[in-house]
Amino acid sequence: MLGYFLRRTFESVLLMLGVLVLVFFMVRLTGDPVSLIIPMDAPPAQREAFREALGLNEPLLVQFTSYLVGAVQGDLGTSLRRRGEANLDIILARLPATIQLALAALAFATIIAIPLGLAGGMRPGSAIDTIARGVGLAGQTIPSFWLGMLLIVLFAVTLRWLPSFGRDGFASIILPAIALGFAGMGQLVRLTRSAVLDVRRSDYVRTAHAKGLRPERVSLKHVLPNVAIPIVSVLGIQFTYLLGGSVYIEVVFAWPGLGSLLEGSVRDADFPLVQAITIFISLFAISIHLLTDLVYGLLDPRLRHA
Amino acid sequence: MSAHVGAAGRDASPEGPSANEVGESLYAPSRLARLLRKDAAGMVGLSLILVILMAAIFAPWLTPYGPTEGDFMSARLPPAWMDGGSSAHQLGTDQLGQDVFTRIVYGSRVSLMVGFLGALLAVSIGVTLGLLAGYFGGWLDTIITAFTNLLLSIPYLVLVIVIATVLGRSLTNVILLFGVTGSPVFIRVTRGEVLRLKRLAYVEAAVGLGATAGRIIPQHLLPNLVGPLATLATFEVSAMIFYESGLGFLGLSVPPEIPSWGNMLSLGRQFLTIYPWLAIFPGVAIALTTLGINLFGDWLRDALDPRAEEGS
Repeated sequence: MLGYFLRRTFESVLLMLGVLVLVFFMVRLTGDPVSLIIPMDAPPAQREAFREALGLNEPLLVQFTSYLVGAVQGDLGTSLRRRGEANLDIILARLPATIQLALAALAFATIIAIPLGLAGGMRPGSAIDTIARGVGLAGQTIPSFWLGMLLIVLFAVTLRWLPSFGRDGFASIILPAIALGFAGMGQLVRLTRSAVLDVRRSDYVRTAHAKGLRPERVSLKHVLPNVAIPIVSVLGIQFTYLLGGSVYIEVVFAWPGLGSLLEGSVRDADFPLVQAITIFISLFAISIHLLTDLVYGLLDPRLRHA
Repeated sequence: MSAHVGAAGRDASPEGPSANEVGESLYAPSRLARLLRKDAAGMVGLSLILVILMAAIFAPWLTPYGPTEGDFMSARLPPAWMDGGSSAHQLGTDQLGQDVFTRIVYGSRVSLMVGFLGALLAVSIGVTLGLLAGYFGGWLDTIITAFTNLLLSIPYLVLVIVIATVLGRSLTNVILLFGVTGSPVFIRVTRGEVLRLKRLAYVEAAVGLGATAGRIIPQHLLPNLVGPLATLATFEVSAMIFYESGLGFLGLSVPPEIPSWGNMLSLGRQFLTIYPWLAIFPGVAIALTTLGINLFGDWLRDALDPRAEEGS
């Protein structure tokens, strides 16, 4: 038991170190960050001074060591465009908005997907099952950023019911949460439906039906608890997927979170900030996976020995 | 060849004996054609794919305009059926007077190239590394598996955005980007399949008879990888088209002068509240393309699954 927890934690720490190495060299391959920031016709002396200030004249290994030591201590460098501001502070200021949006999207997806998948799976081929399959397919094929724009045109521009951008009260989160959660909703419907189809064929469900239980009772008491296991594991993965997907949605709705920060810093060529955001989101995702696995180990003893 | 459907009769459908003769190859064109005719969704998918493929190939014959041919006299026209629309521009024009329909037709070229070439590259990298890891094991396996886990641990969209920023905007870079970042899933599946196949009696027998890796891999392993990988690759094509349009939307895919669906959406966002059609139509093209490929992929998965019963 303890061995499983320790092993998973050790693996996650290794993975985090790997991410630090990968991101550092990926961003360095950009070429010369100086040429992205300083105009091409700037005098060479100015370019050199800038290089010196950024520590880009040090050998790569020295730069890498100081970056790694800093990162382990929670120092993700400072932004190029906002002089003196620590990247971590900028990121932490934006984090609550992104988490709020991701949770709202997850809530929207779950509330619709699980009842729909359950109802569809219990009656394959019925009208409700057709709807469930349609929603599953739509989630796979409709791009979230396009859906976001359609929602804006319909509900903000034409009907004027909801705001089209910004983060200002409950009304402003509705459209972005739907757009962000839509793909996840499709995946959850498909997953729930196929899990129900599997469980339905099992002996204990047949027995429950045979002893004359009402179908609703069979769904709630015998099917749902067994379907819950795969669903819970996917929710953790979904959450990290939503963190990535929020880049598009935050851009569409001008939502002041990490995603729009990443897009903005990419456009500004603020490479220390891009690097810091990438590391932060990746470490966050690895932590969530670890947490899901640990909770899982507690729930399902079989996994600990796998 | 071991990929036969001999076991298909195991769960014979109630409609009668399986139409399948024992020993018929899983990949026999006649079998696939028969299965496809029975699957309406698969047919719809294939038709959509063919329509888009035709649009990409015959683009210059489908429209009187060039993709970058603008006419300021007819800029910002709404679609033909709306007030102020012109029958010369069925889906309207953008702020430079370029025909939206024309740009969607030409845009299919970028999407299909990225989707197919990207998936091809991902499969090539994935199969090569997956075979090395699964067949030879040892430190090679450790390194390849670590690399795979590492790439998969960074949220995909973030990874793609960072690499796209690093590489810069060009069609080749976008294909390379999706080829590399799409490979981990193929590495995993190939490695897993190879580990499973290696333990099967006929492979062990071949090893025992002294066959080398150079014979076992092409003779016994690769043919069995076709089924699982073909389905996965199909879905990968649609995922890449999807993600390429997303990158274009963020202004990180092909250069802005190339007509692509993502670039059109990026432009559409700027004019969303005044000329919404600029954003709506390219999105329809993306949705129909991914729909077509996904429907076809669903059919393919069932058709290439030796354990699936036919006709269900």
